[in-house]
Amino acid sequence: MAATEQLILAATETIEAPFMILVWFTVGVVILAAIEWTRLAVLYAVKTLWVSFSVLAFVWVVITSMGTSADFVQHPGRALTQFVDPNCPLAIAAAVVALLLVGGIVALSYRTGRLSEQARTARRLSLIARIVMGAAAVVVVLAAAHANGFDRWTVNYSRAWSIARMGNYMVNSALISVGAVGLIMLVASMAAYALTRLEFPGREAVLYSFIAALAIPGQLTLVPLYLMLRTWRIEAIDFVFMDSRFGLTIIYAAGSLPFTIFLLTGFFRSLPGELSESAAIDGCGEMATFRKIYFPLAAPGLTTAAIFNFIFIWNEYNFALVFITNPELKTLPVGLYYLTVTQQYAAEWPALFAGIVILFAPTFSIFLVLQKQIIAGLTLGSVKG
Amino acid sequence: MLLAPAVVLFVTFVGWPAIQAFWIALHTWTGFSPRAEWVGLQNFRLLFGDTVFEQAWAIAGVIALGAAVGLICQFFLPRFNSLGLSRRSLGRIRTWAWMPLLLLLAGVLFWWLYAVTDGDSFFRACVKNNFMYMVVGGVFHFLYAFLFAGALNLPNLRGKKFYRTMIFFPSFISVVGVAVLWQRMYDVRNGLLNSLLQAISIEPIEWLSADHMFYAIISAGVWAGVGSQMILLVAGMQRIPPTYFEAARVDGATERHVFLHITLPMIKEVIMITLTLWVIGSLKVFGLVQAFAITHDEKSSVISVRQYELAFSNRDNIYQMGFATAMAVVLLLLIVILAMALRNLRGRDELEF
Repeated sequence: MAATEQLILAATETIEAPFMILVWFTVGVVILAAIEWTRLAVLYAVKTLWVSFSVLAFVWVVITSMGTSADFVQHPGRALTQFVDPNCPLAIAAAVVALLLVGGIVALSYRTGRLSEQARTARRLSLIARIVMGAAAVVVVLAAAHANGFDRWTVNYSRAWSIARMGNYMVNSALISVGAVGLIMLVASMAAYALTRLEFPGREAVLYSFIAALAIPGQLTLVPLYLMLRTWRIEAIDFVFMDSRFGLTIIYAAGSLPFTIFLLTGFFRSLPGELSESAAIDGCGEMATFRKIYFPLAAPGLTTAAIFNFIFIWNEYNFALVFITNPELKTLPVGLYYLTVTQQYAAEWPALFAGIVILFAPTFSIFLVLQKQIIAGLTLGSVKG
Repeated sequence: MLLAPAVVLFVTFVGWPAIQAFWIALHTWTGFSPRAEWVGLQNFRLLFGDTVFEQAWAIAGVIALGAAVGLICQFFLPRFNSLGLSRRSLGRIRTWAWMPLLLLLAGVLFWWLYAVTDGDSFFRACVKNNFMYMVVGGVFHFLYAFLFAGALNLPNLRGKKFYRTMIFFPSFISVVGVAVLWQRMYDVRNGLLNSLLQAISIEPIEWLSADHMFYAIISAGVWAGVGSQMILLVAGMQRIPPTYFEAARVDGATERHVFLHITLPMIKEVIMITLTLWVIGSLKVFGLVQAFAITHDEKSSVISVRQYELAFSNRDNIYQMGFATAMAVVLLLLIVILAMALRNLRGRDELEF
């Protein structure tokens, strides 16, 4: 008996507490699934629980980011009352209008969900209507709050934006991401075109070395790059590679090359080869064939690659952490990390959460607008077919 | 000409540094002294311990023996090929020849992790953590990815898009954001999790104490990463022609049989790709772990975090560039070996449909 008890004791001690929730959740799911395999209730339940938890987490972040620290500690929901102050008729009217608009969005989504694929115009109109209504709801609420002088919620955002320099970091991130994506699309599409459509000695070797480079982890090149770039400078224009946005842009562009070329060669290969032949007959050179015929044709593939590279570079952390030490040049993820470091002992949660929202917002809007392309691209890159 | 810019960029900023890494790994270099000091394999000796180096010949011999046994079995004992393979499929023969070798390599790894006592114990803990992240995290990742993929594949699910977005979106946001968000959710007094527990009157739990930290990180990783795997599995499932399911149902197969005997085998290829991506990603994991805490002890560090701390953020201002690069080389070897192993397990009998 004693041995069993000790075993149980040891087991509970080794399987750690936070993990236990996930473990028990999973055990429950497995048991339920084993009993009721054919009933789909389990699938629905797990998925719904998971999604509602995510929604709860995001709502928690947004609400907290709009209140004061004292609000948050005492009454986590109080930040919302500034929008629906019961003593102010205007705010209540705004809340009612916003609720009606949200109801309209839900109703429209429900109706459109039942429309057939053929009713494209109706679907599109409904989508536009929903976006407009959503924006209107937000504007109404914010305008009412503003008219009543309830600007408390903006305080955290403006503090995160200016004092914690998130705005500064956002500009850096945007410059670096856009620059790197532009550079990489240009260079990689040319290379992918050459690797699929032109014949030259050593083509296979170049292609395979790019593909093999997919296995190189960034950690391997981190230290050598650091040691190499530290000493590089162009005296004439006072340009250094370390601690500069341009240096990081180039590093990102080079680092994303293998992946992008891998993706784009697959895409160029699917385009018909006769086009280049007819172009050659019409007197196009290599460069012109690429620029006038294949580049426009490859637009869907290029878009996918651009989206992926943008999101990857926007979120990149390791290299940005090492190569940028100047506080004015940090990117958004690094900036958020240092914000948590400096706030380790200060209870400034609202401002920090405002920072999180600022970090998530661009990715979230890109994700919402381009979800279809993102999923298609992910499938294109990884699942053959 | 079209290729030149890409090659120049790639060689300068990826290829050449990658080659240099092997060279730097053989030096001690504080990063400040102008000259690196050549120390040969000393860095690796410090990492793995003297025992491994004293046994190096024995280990190499055992591994070579394993490779030889595998090859001999494959080529001279047809009996070993009767695992449902024909003599003609050379690809499959090569596949199985790797198995003894891989098993021995795994054995050496386990021997080093659990039996050897000298060497860098911090590094050993990091490797253990990396593998724990890979195995434990992987189990939960795949379980939930399958569940969600199955749920999203149901024909009459309402709000499919909303669910897909909410499950998939966390894998698109910055890992630093995920880490900071979860760090706050785990907070003892004001975190979301403990608030929820309090609502059902359970004592607050100290999620981020030293012992619990790494499990907390794994859970956050599962939350963030399950979406992308789900999308891949859904895509794989949707490529299966519906006639297969219809035929099975006409023959009276239950849902379980349909899943085990049609869905799983048909998306084997996709599963292997997803698995490979997961293995590589979990070995390289950096941001999530690094941003979760300010300092990392043996219980909550992984190889890349340790490497970063040694090379760039050491509190004593002693930057051990050479030693850190040796770690990165080990990381590369682990990734290459595991990726090769998975590639060989994948087999080559692709289903055409």
